[in-house]
Amino acid sequence: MLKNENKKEISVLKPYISILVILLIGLVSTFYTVRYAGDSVKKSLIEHTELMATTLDVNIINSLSGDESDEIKTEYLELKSKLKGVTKINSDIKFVYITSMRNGEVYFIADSENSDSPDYSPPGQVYFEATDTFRNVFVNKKGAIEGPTSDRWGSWISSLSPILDPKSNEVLYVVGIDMNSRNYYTTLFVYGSIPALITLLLSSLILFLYRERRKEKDLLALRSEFVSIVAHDLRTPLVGIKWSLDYMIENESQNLSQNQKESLKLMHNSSVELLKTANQILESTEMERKNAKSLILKKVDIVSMLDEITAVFIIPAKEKDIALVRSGTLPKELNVVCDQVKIKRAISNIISNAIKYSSAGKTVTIGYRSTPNTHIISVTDQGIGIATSEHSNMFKEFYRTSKASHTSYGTGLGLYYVKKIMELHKGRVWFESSEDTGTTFFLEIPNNLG
Amino acid sequence: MEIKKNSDFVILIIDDETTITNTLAAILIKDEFNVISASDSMIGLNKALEEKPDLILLDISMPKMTGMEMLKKLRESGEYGKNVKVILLTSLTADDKIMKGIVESQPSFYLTKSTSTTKEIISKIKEALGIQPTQI
Repeated sequence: MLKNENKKEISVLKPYISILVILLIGLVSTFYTVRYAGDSVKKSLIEHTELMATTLDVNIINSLSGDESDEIKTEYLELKSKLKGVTKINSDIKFVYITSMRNGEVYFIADSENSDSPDYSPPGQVYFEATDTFRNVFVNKKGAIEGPTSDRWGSWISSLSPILDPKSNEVLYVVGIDMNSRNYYTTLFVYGSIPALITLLLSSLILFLYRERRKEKDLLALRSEFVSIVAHDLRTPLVGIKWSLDYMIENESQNLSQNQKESLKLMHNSSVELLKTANQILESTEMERKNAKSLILKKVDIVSMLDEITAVFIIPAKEKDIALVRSGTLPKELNVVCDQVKIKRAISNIISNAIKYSSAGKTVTIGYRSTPNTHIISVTDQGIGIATSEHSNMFKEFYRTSKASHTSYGTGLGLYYVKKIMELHKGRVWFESSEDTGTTFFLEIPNNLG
Repeated sequence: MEIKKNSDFVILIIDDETTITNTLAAILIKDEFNVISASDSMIGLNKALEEKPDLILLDISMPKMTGMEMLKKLRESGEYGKNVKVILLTSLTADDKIMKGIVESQPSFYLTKSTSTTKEIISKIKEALGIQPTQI
């Protein structure tokens, strides 16, 4: 009992575990995607800056004096328009500038802003917010990327690249390109949201499917319980009716007319049929309730089981003038590991159907063959056959073929039940049939269940 | 030896379904048996020990105490309980668990309600009580 409850708890946890795993994977992949996106943005910014540093003509910059007097020089204006060009090509880039160092202070040589822009830095303007990383570029002669950092103009990702003096190999200038941190973060957000969204979608899909499946399961269980209660409550009074009729026919019908006796017999037969139906419904709901672990497996001699079943059906077959024969391929003894009660019920059901749908003078043949991994029991009739259009519905719950529902009484649960039994055994049931020539049903039991 | 008649015997029917007890009682009374009944296994056990019927028809599936549990208590209760004839009534085909119980508690017979006829029930009762099946 306790074991079962534990199992139930685990199966309830299962979807949450898979969602947790998906969320975890999603979190890791989002993290790496964001990091990768950040790295590539920075890398492309560095490439831009390095390209700028190598293409700028040092001699032109050298010709400037680094104060406001440069503003009217053609060299300065040419330089400025080059810097401006970069911002025009790449909309992510906000500022491009050339700086130098004087008396330990970083100051602007030129920038990409128009002179009337509030963000314009005139030549000679000191950039006192310059970070240590910025200053170190002048010393280390190596480019750097920093940010997001803040200054008087906003928050930036800044890429810096030195321009060296070709003769002395000293750093003369540093070219800087600024990208708005908001653009940077937007890029990261856009890239990161893809795996995050996929993760969220997947987990909610799993949760949704799980909820739907549980709802469906609950509903099926409820239905099965209801049907079972109804069948059970019907059965007891039916037993009462049947017994009373039994007794009447046996002991109290001597003085009744032939017609009255026939009526009694009819009532009796109907009560027996109804009782069979109620039992069949109860059995199938019982099957639904139990899971695959409810098979009681043991070694069973199929040959003697077939003998027992045949013995039961000899009389009803004889009454209908139907020959019940065995095809000669069975060994003397055939030990198969299976659930005796259930397999017996499945075989009985198929044989009972074969007799039910055969007319007088026909033959029902029970056969056997084996494959390396399975035992196959077959039941062949010369009955009414099954229309091709009905083949796919044969094992459905409550399904009855159009011919069967006209000619005989039944629940449409028999084959459904047989299929459940064979599935529990990891086996199969199938049939070959054509209308008016007869049907063969095959029951396949794997021989590796023990 | 004196020939025993149906009216010499008392039969106790224990079943929570009154339809079953009533029907069985009506049939058995018509056959001149003396019949008492109980609608659950606790009352049934007390009636059995007080009135010491010759045979008990006992339903297996009952709430509170199952027929099987009752039979075990009855068999352990003393000389009478150990030897009294009991016929078990089941609703469906017996599964392995019930079969094991049946073997352990040694009833005279067990019958499946929905497939047994009254003729079978009466003949089993007579067999258990040692009444000649046919009286000429």
